[in-house]
Amino acid sequence: MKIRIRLAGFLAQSGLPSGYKGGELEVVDGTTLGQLLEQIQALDRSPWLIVVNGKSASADRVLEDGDVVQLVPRIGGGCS
Amino acid sequence: MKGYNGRILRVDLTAGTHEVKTPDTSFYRRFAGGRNFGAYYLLNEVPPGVDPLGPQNKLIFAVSMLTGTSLSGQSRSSVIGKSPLTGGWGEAEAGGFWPAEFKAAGFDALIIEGITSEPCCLWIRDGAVEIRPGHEIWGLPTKEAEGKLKEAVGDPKARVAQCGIAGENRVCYANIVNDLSHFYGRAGLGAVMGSKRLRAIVVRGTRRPEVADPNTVHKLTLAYNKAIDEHPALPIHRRLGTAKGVLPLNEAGLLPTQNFRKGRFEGAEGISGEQMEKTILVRNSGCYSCAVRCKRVVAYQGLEFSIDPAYGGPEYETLGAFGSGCLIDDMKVEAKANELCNKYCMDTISCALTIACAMECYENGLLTRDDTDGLDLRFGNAKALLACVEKAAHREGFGDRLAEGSRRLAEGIGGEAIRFAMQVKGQELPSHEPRGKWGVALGYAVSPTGADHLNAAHDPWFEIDADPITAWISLDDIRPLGIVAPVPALSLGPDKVRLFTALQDVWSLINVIDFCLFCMVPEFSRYQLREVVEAVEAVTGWNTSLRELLLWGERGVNLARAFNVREGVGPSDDVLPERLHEPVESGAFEGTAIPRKEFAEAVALYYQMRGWDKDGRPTPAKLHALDLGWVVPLLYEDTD
Repeated sequence: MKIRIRLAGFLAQSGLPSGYKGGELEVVDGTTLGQLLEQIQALDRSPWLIVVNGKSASADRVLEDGDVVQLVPRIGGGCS
Repeated sequence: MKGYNGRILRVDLTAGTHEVKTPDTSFYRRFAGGRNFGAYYLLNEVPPGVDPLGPQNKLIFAVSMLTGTSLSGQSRSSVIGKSPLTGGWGEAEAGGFWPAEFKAAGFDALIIEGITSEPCCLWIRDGAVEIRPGHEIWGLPTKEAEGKLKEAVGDPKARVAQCGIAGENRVCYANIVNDLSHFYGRAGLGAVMGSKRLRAIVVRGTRRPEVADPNTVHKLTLAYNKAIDEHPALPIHRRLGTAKGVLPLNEAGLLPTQNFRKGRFEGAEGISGEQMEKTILVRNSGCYSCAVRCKRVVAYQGLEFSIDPAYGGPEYETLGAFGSGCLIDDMKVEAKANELCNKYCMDTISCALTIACAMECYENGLLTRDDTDGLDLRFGNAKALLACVEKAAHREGFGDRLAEGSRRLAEGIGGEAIRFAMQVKGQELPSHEPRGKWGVALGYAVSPTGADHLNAAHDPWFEIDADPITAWISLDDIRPLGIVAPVPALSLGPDKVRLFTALQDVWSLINVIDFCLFCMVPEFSRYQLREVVEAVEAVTGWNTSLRELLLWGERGVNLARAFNVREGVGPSDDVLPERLHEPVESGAFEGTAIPRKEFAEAVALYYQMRGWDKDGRPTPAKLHALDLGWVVPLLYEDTD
């Protein structure tokens, strides 16, 4: 199945520290969000918020064909 | 004593006199600076129940031991007074060049008391103080006023802090500006300054206090600047400023939209930092001796209006409040609203959210064109929005009601209007959707100034144990506070309350030592807490520790609370607007509401962790433990 990965905000330009910049990815059925993040080297200690199809999601979520996974920079007060 | 002038200036506007006090070292060591200097004088000298806009209120400007040194992030100062917006503790901080200049002019704090019958301004130069007539600048926008003031004192290097036309008109969220674009933004302290008819404080100083160990301060300055330069967040922070937050917060469902009904704004691209960069950004700017340079300067020339770059550019909060908050997706309109607020000196958050409240009342039939001077005040109407900003600053027509803030506007309208006033204690909510980060909700409720996003670091940072190498901020940065495990953002249990309380002490400390949150933990992880201790030691020569610094922070929290308790602020004021207990309508947290019972329990637990009683009053034991025994008789009538 195909999963689309989008980096939000300024991550879209800078990419992840690994150099990954998002795009479409073929994964096997039953892949969880956590496994996908491992595959693109956005491991669970990475500082990004994860949103699937516009909704907040956890690492054990099983992905479905056509899901859009977004990696969103964490932003705090004063917008650091 | 190193790092301070050892001199506090008091100006009595009623008598037209001034005097200088020289408190002993124990005063400086106990209170340290900014927020705490202000709290000491406000609690001791302003009786309970006074009119915030009357002669008995005082306005205190204060700096710290670090102000004016070469360290990035140090050129900030605090302003303290009783707030006309909330009737309680009023506090605001700003950066720029004025704080360093004020300190070089020979003082650590300035207490303004009384009221003049005629407009005036203060001129402080290297320890000399003069109260001058202010007729020539009264009624002028800040840019014109600043030009005339610099000309009058004959020194282009003089720095000006002033309230604007909104302060003169006692707009309840009027603020104070220095150098035209650095704002003591919240709590309405510009109205206090305006009520005293003190339009401006002009400073020039050439004598910086000695520091204890200049070589170490120099070494630390270079090391910290290198660390700031190498921080992973710095390039984007410099490039886009705080506006870099618009798109990520929108995707995360945390961008308050349409007066906090929704958590996602379809027009977010139009108000983003990226859009500003593409369209109206002229350059970035910064504060005295700071390597970060996060401020914006924007300009625009169009048929319908132009934007003057002298007033800087919009921050994230302004873009959120006027943009997604009022459903306006045009960067030029946000920047124009920002310019008008800056020119007249009004807090953009409170101004925008008061207009958003009026918009929602209008759409629900609680206001009509007859009330709004003929304005079609629907969400998204940019022309009506800009007209409201002008009217509020001048208290013209409907603007007179807008100038009171959303709570009083809604109370005046009656009926269900109060449901549309997104405020706590009378101060409007900043642009951070708390239904997706419940620690921020706790901060909104218990902040002494009313809703404030800068009461503690926001919880999403600490819900994972992020890799400190790639993360801007990681749990590792706050482990020295005793927080050793992640805490989910959507939680209100004991772990969350402990995290919030620990972080609140650090953020209070930031305002005590008047430091910039963009230079130190927990906002920027390369300038660690232990390095702040090092800096304080090098500047003062004191044998100090993180414990002592956190005590300064905790004292600040307790002194502000004590002031509010004395003004009758209690548990019934430490609450959220009803809407936040209802599900947010869109965004990543769609359907999420802050659970009422858990929230009330979290507030009660927070009181207990703080050592406060069930009414939120610091106990005598807590006050004595903090070496604040003198506050006990102020809060407990039967003690002496």
